Amino acid sequence: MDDVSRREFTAFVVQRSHVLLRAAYALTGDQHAAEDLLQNALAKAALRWKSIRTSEEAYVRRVLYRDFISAWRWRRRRPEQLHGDLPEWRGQEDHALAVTQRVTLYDAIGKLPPKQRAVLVLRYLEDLSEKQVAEVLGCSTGTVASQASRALAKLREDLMTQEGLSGQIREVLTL
Amino acid sequence: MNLDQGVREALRHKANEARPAELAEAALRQAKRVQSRRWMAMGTGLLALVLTAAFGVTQLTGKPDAPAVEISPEIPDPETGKLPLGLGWYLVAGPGEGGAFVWDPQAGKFAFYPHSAVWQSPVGGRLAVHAVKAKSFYIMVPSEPTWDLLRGQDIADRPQWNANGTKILFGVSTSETGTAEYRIADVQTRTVTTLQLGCDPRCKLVWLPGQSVVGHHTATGMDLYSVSGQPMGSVGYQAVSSTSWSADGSLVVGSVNGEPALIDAGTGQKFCRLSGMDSPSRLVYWRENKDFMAMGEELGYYDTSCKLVFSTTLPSRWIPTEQDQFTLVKE
Repeated sequence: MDDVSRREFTAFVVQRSHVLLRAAYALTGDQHAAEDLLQNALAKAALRWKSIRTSEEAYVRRVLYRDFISAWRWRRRRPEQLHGDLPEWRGQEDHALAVTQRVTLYDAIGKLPPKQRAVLVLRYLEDLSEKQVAEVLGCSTGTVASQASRALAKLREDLMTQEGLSGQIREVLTL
Repeated sequence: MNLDQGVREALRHKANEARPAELAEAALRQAKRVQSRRWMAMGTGLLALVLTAAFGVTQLTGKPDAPAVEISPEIPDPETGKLPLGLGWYLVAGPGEGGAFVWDPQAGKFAFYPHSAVWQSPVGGRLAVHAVKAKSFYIMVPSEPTWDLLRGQDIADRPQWNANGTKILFGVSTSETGTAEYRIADVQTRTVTTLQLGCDPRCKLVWLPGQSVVGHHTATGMDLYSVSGQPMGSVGYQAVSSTSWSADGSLVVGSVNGEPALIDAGTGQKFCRLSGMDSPSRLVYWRENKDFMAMGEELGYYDTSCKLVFSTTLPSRWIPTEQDQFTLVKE
C-alpha cells in the first residue's frame, strides 16, 4: 500500500470505525471479538484499497457481516460470549424492567444462528431495507425476509419458554 | 413495547457498550502479514485452480503419503457434496482445515488429504501434493510410486498443471538469494527442466495455449519462455491465470495497463473492458468460446462482449484470494 492509500485508509478508519464497531459489537456481544471481526474486515479492505469500486464503508460492512456468518471460521475461533444471568432489579421498577427486557432480548438474539442475527442487526441497528440487507449478505430479499421472520419467531418462542422470566417481561416482549 | 421495538432497543443499547478502538494501524499490520504470507504461500497453492471437466477424478487411496479419509462437515453442501455456481458449474474441491478435500465422483464422496495443499490435474488421476512441514513436494499417480520433486526445500509461487495434466510448473525457493527458481516437471517422462527466468524475486507464471510456452507477469505485460527455458519475447497484457484463454486460444481474460479486460490474444488489443464486479478477478474459466466465468470475491459470468450475464456471491471460504486451491466440474 502506497503512502496516499495508507493515509486514505487511516482517515477512513478514524472516521468510520466507530459505526462499524458498534455493528460488530452488536453481532458478537464482546469487545475483543468485535475488534477482531472489524480488524479482519479492515485488513481485507486495506489489501484491496485501490481496487474497491463501491464505497469503502459498504465494502468493509459486507466483509464484516459475511465473515461473521462464516461460522466455520469465525465461531470456532472465538466462542460466543453471552450473558448468563439476568441482572438484579435495581432502582426504579420501570428502569429495571427496561434493562431486564433488553438483556433478556439480547441474550435470546445471541442464541440465534449467525445469519439470522446478522439480519436483525442490519435491519434494526443499521436500519437497512430488505434490499440493502440482501446486498450486504449476498442473498435474495426473500431470504432476508424469511430469516428475519424466523429470527423473530425464534425469539418469541425462546422468551415464552424461558424459565424464571417474569410474566410482565414475557408479555411485553412477545406482543 | 412490541418485539420489533424490543429488538431495536436491545441492539442499540448493546452497540452503545462498544468502546472506541484504534484499529487502523493494527489492520494495516495484519494486512501486511497476510500479504507477506500470501507471497510465501504462493508455493502452497495460492489461487491455484484445477479444472476437472468431464474427465472426472480418479480415486487416489491406499498411498502411504495420502491417507484419504471421508469428511462431510466441511464441505459446502453436505447433501450434494457440491457448491453450485450456476450454468452447470460446481465447485467440488478446496482447502479444509488441516488439509484439502477432493470430490471423488466414483465413490460419490469427498476424500480428505491431510496435507497443506493438493492440486488435482485437470484431467484427474494425478495429484501434486505439498507437505509444508516436511518441506516436500511430490506427484501422486495411482498404481505408481510417488515422484518426489522436492525434499527439504520450499516451493514458491503456485504450482500449475498444464491443460492436459502432463506437466506441472512450480517454483523453488532458494535460501541464498531469497529468489525463486522455476521448473517444469513432465509427469510422463519423469524429467524436470529448470527455467532461467528474469523475474525477481517471484514470478507470476501462467501456461499459454499449446502448452509449450509459459509467461510471467512484468510491469507492462508478460515475458514468454519455451518449456525448455528459451526466451520467446513478450506481450503487452497479463493473463489472469493459466485457464484464462478461450478454447481456441484467440481470446484471453487479463489486464492491459491494469484494466481488467477481454483481450485479443493475437494482437494484444483490448476487446472490451470487464465491469460489474467489485473485486479483481483472480481466476477465470471459459465455457468453450462462448462465455466465461471470473472469480474474485464474487463470481460473475460474462459473454464475449464483456456483458455480465449474472453474478453471485461466494461463501467466504471459497473466495480465491483466501483459499489455497479449488477444483471445478461442469455437468
